[in-house]
Amino acid sequence: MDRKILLVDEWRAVRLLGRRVVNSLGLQTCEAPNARAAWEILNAEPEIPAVLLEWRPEDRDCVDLLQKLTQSPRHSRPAVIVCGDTLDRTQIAAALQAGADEFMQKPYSRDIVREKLEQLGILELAESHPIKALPTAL
Amino acid sequence: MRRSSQDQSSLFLLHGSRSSSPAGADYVFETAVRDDRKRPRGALLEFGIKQHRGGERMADALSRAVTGPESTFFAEQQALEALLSDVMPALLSTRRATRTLRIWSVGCGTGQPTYSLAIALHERCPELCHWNVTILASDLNADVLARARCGIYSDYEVQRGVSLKRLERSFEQLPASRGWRYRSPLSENISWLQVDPLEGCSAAGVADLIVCHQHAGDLDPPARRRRLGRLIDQLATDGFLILAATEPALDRQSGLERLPVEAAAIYRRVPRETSLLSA
Repeated sequence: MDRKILLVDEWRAVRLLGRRVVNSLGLQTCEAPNARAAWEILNAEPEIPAVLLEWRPEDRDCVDLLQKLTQSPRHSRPAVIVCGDTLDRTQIAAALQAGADEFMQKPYSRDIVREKLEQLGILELAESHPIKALPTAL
Repeated sequence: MRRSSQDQSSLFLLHGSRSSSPAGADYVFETAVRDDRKRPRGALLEFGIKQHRGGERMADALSRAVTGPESTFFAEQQALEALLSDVMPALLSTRRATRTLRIWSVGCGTGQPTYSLAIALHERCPELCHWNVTILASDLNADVLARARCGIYSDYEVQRGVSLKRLERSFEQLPASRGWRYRSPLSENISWLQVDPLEGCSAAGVADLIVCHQHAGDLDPPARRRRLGRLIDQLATDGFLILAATEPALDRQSGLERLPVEAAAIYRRVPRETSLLSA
């Protein structure tokens, strides 16, 4: 079965971007607009290996979800990569405190997502990546 | 494609004319230049010059991409893992009496490979904190080396390869979005030296472990041999040399033999008797 990454973000456009990035790495996605919906999906599909979670420290549900998810040992639960608007020391400390495995700043690039998934053991380490075509953004 | 002097001069101009204006709009562009680092250097250069109206930030990124060896942290993860599991136990046991370890990080670029090495050594060889460890980081490009010495990286750069925990432990965030500065471990044990491995490197002194992050793909074979010879000159008798994964394999004439490790190109000197027999 294809492995799925759960994308949690309030904005559809952000989820769409995430979907394109994750699909390009050979993984499938499913999406949730908020932490509650995400929790339901995770309960229905416990084999999901990773969650890209929009980081909203002011949102109780979001912090709860992160804490609930990361209570159990790393091998028996999905990895959680929190995605925040800014990379800053207090945000990082809060995310670490709540149990986050990784942090990415939005908007994330394909390479950063790939590297984080590799570090977390979800994608296999590729030492030398084949030469890629020029990014379409150019 | 080899780097010609003309290419170098145009790069120099681009680099020299840049001003320090970080602009969010260049994000995509900067990403693109770095993501494309595996392209042959000539192609990358051509692409860059065609696009040079893209902004001064790009010139900076381009010059770094061409002259600097690696711009991500923990880029050569498999080689680093091999170093920790296959080389460090040997070095720790042969140097236990003196508790002195001299490491030379060649082609450190903007510092990422050297700091990654320091973090990994600290995490995996905790006994080293009671040792006298010196890490010499060198690069032939003075601008790049100056950046490495500052150890300040943008949000984007620290996200490349630095895990959340390592970011918290090893970097401090500078005020006013000026980025992140490498803080520890081993930062006070690192010294910086501008040296061209093609010229003499005696200034580097003898090293127990030489890690060459820079690949010599754009040098012609004689220059490559000369460079390698310079590196070997500085290697302790029972020291180890680690070359970039992309480097062509060395023959026995080099006086080195490769360790039977697949993940990385790790060499040590051929013991004297064996080399006489095979000659």
